[in-house]
Amino acid sequence: MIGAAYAIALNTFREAVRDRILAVFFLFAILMMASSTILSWLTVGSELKIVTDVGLAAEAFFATLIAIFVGINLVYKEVEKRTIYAVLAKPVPRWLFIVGKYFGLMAVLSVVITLMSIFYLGLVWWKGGVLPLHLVGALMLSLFEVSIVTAVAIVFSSFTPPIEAAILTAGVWAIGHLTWGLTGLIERIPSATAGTVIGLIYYVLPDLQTFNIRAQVVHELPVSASYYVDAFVYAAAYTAAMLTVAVLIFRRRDLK
Amino acid sequence: MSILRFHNVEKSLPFGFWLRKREILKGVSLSVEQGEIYGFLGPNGAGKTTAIKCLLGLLYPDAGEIELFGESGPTLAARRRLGYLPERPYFYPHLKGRELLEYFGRLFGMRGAALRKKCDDLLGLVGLPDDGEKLTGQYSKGMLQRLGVAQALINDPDLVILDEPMSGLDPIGRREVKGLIESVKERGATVFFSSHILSDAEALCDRVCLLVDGRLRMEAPLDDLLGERVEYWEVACEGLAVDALSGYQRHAVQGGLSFYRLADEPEVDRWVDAVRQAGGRVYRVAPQRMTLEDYFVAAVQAEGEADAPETTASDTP
Amino acid sequence: MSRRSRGQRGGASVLALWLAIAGCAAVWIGAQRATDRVRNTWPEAYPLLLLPNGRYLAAASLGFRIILADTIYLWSIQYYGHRRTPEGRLYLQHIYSTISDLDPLFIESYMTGALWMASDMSDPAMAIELLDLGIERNPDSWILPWDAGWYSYIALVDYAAAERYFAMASAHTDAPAWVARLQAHMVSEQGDLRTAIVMWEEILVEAEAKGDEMSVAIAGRRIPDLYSRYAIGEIEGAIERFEAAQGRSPDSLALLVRLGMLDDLFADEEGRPINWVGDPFIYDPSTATVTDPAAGSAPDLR
Repeated sequence: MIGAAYAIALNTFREAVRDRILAVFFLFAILMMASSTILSWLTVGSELKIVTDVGLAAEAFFATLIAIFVGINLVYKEVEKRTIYAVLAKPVPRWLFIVGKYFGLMAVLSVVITLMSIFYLGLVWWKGGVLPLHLVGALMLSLFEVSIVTAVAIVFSSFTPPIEAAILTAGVWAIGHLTWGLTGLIERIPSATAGTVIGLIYYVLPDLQTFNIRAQVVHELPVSASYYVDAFVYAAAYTAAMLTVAVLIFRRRDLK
Repeated sequence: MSILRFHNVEKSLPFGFWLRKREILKGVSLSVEQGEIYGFLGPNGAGKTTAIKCLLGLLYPDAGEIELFGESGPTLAARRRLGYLPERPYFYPHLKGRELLEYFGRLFGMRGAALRKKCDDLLGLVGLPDDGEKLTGQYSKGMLQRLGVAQALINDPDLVILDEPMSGLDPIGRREVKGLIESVKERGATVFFSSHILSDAEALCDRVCLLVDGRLRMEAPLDDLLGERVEYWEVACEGLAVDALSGYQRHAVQGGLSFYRLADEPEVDRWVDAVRQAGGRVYRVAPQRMTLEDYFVAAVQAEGEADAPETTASDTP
Repeated sequence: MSRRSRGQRGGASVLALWLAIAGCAAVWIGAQRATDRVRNTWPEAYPLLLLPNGRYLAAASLGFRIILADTIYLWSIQYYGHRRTPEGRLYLQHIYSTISDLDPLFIESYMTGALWMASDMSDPAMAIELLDLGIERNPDSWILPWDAGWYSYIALVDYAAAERYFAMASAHTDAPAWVARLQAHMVSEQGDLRTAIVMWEEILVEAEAKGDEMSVAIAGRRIPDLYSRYAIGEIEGAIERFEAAQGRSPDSLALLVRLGMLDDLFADEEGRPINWVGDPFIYDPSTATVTDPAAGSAPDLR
């Protein structure tokens, strides 16, 4: 079973890596980071900050774009192109197919984020003269964030065409960065029932701001190890739940 | 021993904007015996692919049961023992032929040198020994079909399910696939293949069934269906005038030859004597047996005219 | 033969999957609460600082500027409602001018923003500046100039500015009657009682025509009071001028009337200046003081 999951993940990895869209996004991310060095000349005394901020933002943004644009096709394309028939006719349970696809894309994202991070850290080192290891935490958390986004993309990919899946996944990503606003509403709303309902919504929706510690790391404010652990646990549990939802949807689906 | 059974399988699928359900399989029952080549025949849209997908767990039947290797439904253990070639196969264009076979082999838990050797053997078997390093996106339709047959055999299956295996192949390719199917049978595996090309089924199958509009019209050994029975004799002569042979109705004229259809051997003997007496020359005497195509057309027409009951070989005269 | 096919079985596995989801939910909620606790201790981040200029946003919104304005408005209320600190208020002007750029006709946002600025930030001038922007972009609105007038009156005690705003507001036909009353009141607060009386008379006439009993009652009280103050002021001024010219106080108020020094006031048949209800003003020649016989009987609405 593990061999089959590995095979599916490897195939997914190969498919993504050999897809031009990945190269385009990666190239744009690198260009954006590199261009920040030029942008930084427009500032007075804040060159390093610009390079640091733009690089972190570019890495997070393009990793999310890759997660969405590759993730939305993971299941749908296999069904549409009928390549899935030959796979599921083999001794491969449907849930394993979903899990294998997920880990394949996560492998791609891990490699992409690692490469972007190496370039980015090198750039900041060149600009600032010091190896900015304190930024690694923010880069790592962005990987946790895209793990959730990828899982959400797979959920939508298991039953909707790519365009709808892209819109829905992007919508969830945007909502995930706005849920912080619900905490204030919960505190101030007079009705206990409404507060409970909003609280439920707050916890059901992904809180992607959890993985945004860019402001902290840029200013070298301390982030405890336990925070990273909690963030990882959050990402892992939420991702597992999303993949389970995808399995629930996909297991009963007639593949016409 | 039955290796595959369908028990009254029904399946409807939604179609159209309003997703109205249309019955595709209307209570299909059949059985495939171990070691035979079973032809699952029917016109386009009969429900053959739907039935095969139900068998493989790609679709879930609404009612009825499917047994594979004595177990209910396509269990993982059952799928370990079968190979499948989809209709109009489409494989990952980003993979090379060899990579594709290795991928499918890994799904069976194969790996390492054994897997690589198996892939080499299969590529040779299907006539693609030098194409393993090409991307499947560059393969022709025929090459994809052959690669599909190769991946269906990667696990040395006990049951090979082929959905329209000759589709897209030129005559040479078709002959090669026919040879592959026969070699699969020789190794002791069972072949279940669907086709609407009856001449292929006639050449290969031990048993056939005919699916028309979601219902099984017949299921019988091929020999029982076609048998040795002569339907009529086709005879031809030359060198005689139009009305030279009284009592015989000419069927056709072509290139100076007159063709007749006669019921049985004694009538052939009498016709030969009559030709000689009239001064003509016998050109041909050939017995005509019923073909599968004849059965097919008759069954489809019967379906169109009335809701005829299922027939088996024992019912045929 | 089984009527239920294999695919329809598996209720147990579905239940197991749902239980797995519930289990994951329990874990992620726990982890989220842990990270929230930590994040609440971090220095405040002000994501609204990153809000681009409103004109840029309007262009970038691709036609959705109205909903974007609503979103930022709701967001800002949540955000500032939760963080009522001096630092949190710093960019109120930017936020609300951005909302105005996106949706210039969003009346409530001007009023909400002005309220925050005037009350929380104790900066009524900034509030009025925002309302001026709203007035410029909403020339048909009576409530925005009224709101600006109110802040000018109550917070800045700038009666002239308040009068201008109330005049702007009452010029709209849909403005309530009390706007005109406020305008008249501002005129009287500036000391121009004569004009104020004229305005109140106009209010009375209009109120009687419309059957607005409340305005009639209010005007009915204000006019006598204002006339009394005006008349006393005129009389005292005339007395001063008489004393300056004659070197003595006048013997009576009727003398001043005969001398044409109180032409603007109502007088009775005996030439004595009278109040609104027709009672002559009481003059004490020994002290040269004037009082209204009706003073103290009507409520002082000033």
